[in-house]
Order: sequence, then structure tokens, then C-alpha cells
Amino acid sequence: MNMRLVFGLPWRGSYRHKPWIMAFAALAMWSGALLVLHMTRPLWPAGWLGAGVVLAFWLAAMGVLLGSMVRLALEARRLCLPGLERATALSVCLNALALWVVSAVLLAVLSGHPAPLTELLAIGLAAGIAYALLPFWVVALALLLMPLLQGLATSLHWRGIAPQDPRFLEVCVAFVTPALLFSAWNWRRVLQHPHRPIGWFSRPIMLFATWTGRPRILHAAPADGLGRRPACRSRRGCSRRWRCTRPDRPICCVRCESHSAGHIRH
Amino acid sequence: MLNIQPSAPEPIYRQILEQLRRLIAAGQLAEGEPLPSVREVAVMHAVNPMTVSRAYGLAEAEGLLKRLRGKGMVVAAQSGRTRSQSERLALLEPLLLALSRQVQELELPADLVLRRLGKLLGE
Amino acid sequence: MSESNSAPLTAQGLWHTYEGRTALRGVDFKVEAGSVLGLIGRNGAGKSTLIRALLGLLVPSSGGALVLGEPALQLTDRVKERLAYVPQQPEAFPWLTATQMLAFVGRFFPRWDDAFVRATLSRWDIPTGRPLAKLSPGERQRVELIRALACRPDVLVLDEPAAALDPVARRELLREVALRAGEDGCTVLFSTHIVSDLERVASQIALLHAGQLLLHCALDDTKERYARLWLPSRHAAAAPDAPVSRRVHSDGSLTLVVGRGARGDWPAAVQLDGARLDALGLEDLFVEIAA
Repeated sequence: MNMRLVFGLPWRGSYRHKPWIMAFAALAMWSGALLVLHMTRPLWPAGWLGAGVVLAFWLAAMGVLLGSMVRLALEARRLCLPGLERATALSVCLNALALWVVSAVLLAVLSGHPAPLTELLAIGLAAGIAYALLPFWVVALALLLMPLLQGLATSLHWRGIAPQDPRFLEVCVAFVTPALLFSAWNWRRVLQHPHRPIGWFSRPIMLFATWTGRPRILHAAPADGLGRRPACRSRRGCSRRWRCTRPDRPICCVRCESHSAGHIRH
Repeated sequence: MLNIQPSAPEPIYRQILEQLRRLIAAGQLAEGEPLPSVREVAVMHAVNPMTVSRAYGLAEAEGLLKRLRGKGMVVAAQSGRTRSQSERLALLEPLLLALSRQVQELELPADLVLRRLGKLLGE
Repeated sequence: MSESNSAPLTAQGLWHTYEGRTALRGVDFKVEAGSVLGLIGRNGAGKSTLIRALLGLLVPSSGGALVLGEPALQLTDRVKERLAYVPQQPEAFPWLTATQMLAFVGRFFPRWDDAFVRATLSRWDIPTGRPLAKLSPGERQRVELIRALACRPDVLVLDEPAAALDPVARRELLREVALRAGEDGCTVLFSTHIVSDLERVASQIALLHAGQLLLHCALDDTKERYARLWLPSRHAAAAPDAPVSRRVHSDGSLTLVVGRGARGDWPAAVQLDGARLDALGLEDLFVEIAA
């Protein structure tokens, strides 16, 4: 398999401006991290941690992007395209690995704290991938439980484990391994029935309002008989925060228009 | 040249064959005249080339057409310059049968229909 | 090769139940190499389900399918490179423009025909600057068809390819399909409920009704082998056994679709006084059987 193609899939399989946006985001996040590193060094001995957090967020965003490539694999499967499905899975793994290793090495060299930063970045990346791929209920539950746990920890005077702590490695492994395994399992599950819409409750967030949204949109957009474009539930949905994380949010709206033109088929 | 109606109950290959029979019997297609290639007919009417070549094959077997190297199908020499009148009339037989049945169904007097037919034929 | 002597598409006893509804009830059939099989059936007859099961896009409740000799559920890239499938809803890669999508997909096919893509994009008037999501359904369907034809497939599977096309585009498509089958030996399976499309290009037809294959034979045979027989009520008892379909009218008369016997003869009831035998177009046959 052509490695250039595999590595380039997140760019090639995406819309035109995405490579630029991603390059800009990478530049901004790295400058931010370096700035934090540079400015906090004289003030605060653990300033490198700030840079780590900034980059962990960037890797999380990249993870969301990589995870959302499941849509590419899904298209490949739905159309019986050769090679693409495997190339996509490979591309996600290799790109994630490359991003993590390169960022960790660079940051370790710059800050002099390799181990905790590598772990922190791994957590960020895994969280991003899991956010994109895990069923909606898992993500919702995690987001709900987080403040609860936080409150519980504060009220019981639990001390969190700081990244400097040697036990942070265990925390990292305990989070990253199940997150990635669960994501991989859900990736396979999504591809198993490429034409059957997944229930919204168990649908990965990245699949909302794209292909799986079809039946919902069909019911949401009956022609109103007056030649007006029907109000589109999905268009309103676009303003919801999580929808806007998707790179291709015009689709749901446009599909509604096309369906409203009388092309509603069973 | 050919008139193909896909939705007619008659299969397309038969429609082509019947038309070739009629055109050649009437002398509208003269001996040695080349026919459009299978591909041309298929593209023109958006029909399956295999259907066209089946019709051509049957026409060839009947002696209506012959295959010339480099030229494709041409009209073969017919026995006698054109067919006899009775042979040509025989080609109309299915149409006449259908017509007579419909006339009976409509309970029309025969002479009325014949007069109208005569008019259509320009008598 | 083992696949050379077997049919490119084979279904073996396909049953499929989904959400308590049985969509396929034991479908067995083969699409022979080089043939154009038109799959007709009413909406909801199970055409799309059958096509998906044939290509391994769903796991049937029982039975199986083969594509070019390989089990449909485990197709290798070697087979996928020779297979092109256009699903019913043309909504793949909505975020790419037509040119981007075709260039992207083309990289995965060894026999990709770039010249065909360029020529057809301009001949079919496809806007190439806008994302596919912003094209009309007809335009998107045409882009999908270009994708399917440009990979020079040995097996072409089209699920309701003409549904969103206007008559001119439909005729263009049929022409292309007919030539691919006739000249390149491509095996084509397409489903439709527009019978006139099928009559032009299909060499075989299969009629799917309520998940069952009621008819599968050469198109020309269908027209020559079946006819509609009307029997007045006084002869109702003399109706031939096991007609293809049977309808009783309020006055007791019968309309049957009958087939010729083994020696090409019609059932004896045709000779009865008052009986009427009509030739059947495919559409009539479809309506008689599927109504």
C-alpha cells in the first residue's frame, strides 16, 4: 500500500480548506505551547506542564479529526471500494502514532521532562479519538460524571495524582488502553452494517447528521405543498455545539433541501 | 431506419427482424446495401448490442443479410428481385389478424372498415 | 481461475429478517457472465436488500452470496477492484467536489479511466467546482455513475440508477450500460421499477415480489413465453393448473397469466369458446404478477 497516500488520507479525503486550517491550528498550538514554556520558566518550576496541557488539547482535536475518519471508512464500505477501508484504519493508527511520538519527543527535548509529558499527550490524543468514536451515551455519561467525580474528590479531600507523580503512568495506561480498545471496537461495529442507521443513542458523535442522519431528515422534511423549503430540523441542529465540531456541517442542510424537492424515496 | 419500441409485447430482436424482412421484401433495402453496425444501432436506440446482433444473426441465417469482411452486414441477394406478392402479404398476416379481432370486438361492419382502409391506402 | 466457470454474482438461499420484517424469503439466483440482469419489483419488494446481501453489505439471516467466486462477506480487494456498486441514495463523499472525489477514489483502482472521467464530466454537465452536497440529486447520481463506470468494472451493480435522472440522462446511462455489457463483457445487475428502462438493455429479468423471486428468465423469453388469458365465468373450472398469477373478477371471470408448456404450446383452455389470449408487455406482466 502506498504509504504517502495512507499518511495523507486525513487531508486527501477531506474538503479543500482543511489542510490549511489544520496547519494553522498546529502552528498556533505549538507557538502557544512554546510561549507558555518560555514565559513560565522563570516564574514557576512546573511551567512545562502548561505547555503539555496546551499540546494535549491540540492532540485531542487531532484525535477527534482522526476518529471522524470513520466516515471515510464507512463510505468505502458502502461503495465496496477496494483498499480504502483498510487504508483509513491504517492511516488513523499511523497518524496518531506519528503525532504522539513527534510531539512527545519535541516537547521532551524542549522542556526536559519526557515521561510525564509523553503520558499527558497520550491521554489527550486518546480522549480525542474516543470522543469521536465512542457511542453518544458513553461520551454523555463521561461528561456528566466528570463534574460529579470532581465534586466527590473535593468533598472527600482526595488528592489527584499530579503528572510528576510516578503513579501517573498507571493512570495514563488505565485511561488510554480501554479508551482506544473501546474506540476500535466501535469503529468495527459502525462498519458492520453500513446501510443500517445506528440508533442515535449508540451512534458515535461524528456520525450525527451525516449519513446516518438520513432517515431522520427524511421524516423531518416533508414537502409542505406550498413550494416553500420546509423548516429543517438539522439546520437548526447545526447551531448545537457538538454539530459544529464536524467539518462538513453544511451537508445536513443541503440534503434537506434536496429532499424537499420531492426526491423522497423509500 | 429501424423503429424500436421496447415496451411492445414483441421482443426487440423480433421487431428488428420483422422490419428487415419487410424492408428487404419491399426492395427498400437493395442488395449489397450496408446496414448500420450492431454498435450503431445499439447506441442509437440505447438497446443491448447482444439483442441487435441476435436479430442480425437470425436475418443472416434466413438469407436476408450476409457478412462481408471489412464492411459488416450487407443485404444479401434475394431469390428473385423482390419477393412474390403472396410472400409479402404473408408478412402482414399477424397485423391483419389483430385488426380483424379488434374490428369484431368493436362490432364494426366490415365494409366500413374496408372503405376506411381503402382511403388510407390512397385508392 | 475457478471464478471463470462460475457466475459473477450468486445468491444461495438468502433469507433476511430485519426489525421483525422478512425482506428476503429464500432467494436463489445467479447472474451469468456478460448478461444484463434487470431486477424489478415494487417499492419495498426487497430489491435493495437483495443487492446489499449479494455484495456482503448486510449479514443475511441465513444463506449466502458469492461475488466473482468469493464469499460476499469477505471480499478481497482483488474482487472489489473489479466490482462497481452505486447505491440507491447517491450521497457518498458530500464534502468533496466531483473532481476531487473521482481523483481520490481513482487512486484505489488499477484500471481507472481518467480520460473517461474528464470526457463524461463535461458531457453530462456536472458542476465540478462545488461540493457534491450542493449538487442536485440527479447530478450526484450521475457523478456516482461516472465513478462506477470509470473503474472499468467486470461486475456493475446499480441500485435504482435511474431514479433521480431525467429522461435524457437516463437514456445516456442505458446506452453506456448496454455498450459496457455488449462490448466489454461487463456483467450488470440493476434494479428498477421503471420497466421501460429494463426492456431496452436487459438480457435477463428477475421479478422480486415480497422477498421472493417469482420470475427469472431471458427478457425475450418472458415476452414470448407468457400471455394473459381471460376466461369467462362459465369456463372458470377449466382454468389451467398453477398459472403464474390468477385474478378472479366480480362476475366470476378469470384473468390468468399463463406460460407455454415444455413443447411451446399454450394450455388447452386457450381453445375454449370465449377465451381470450393477449400478448403481454413486460409492464403488464409485472403488474399482473405483482399487483
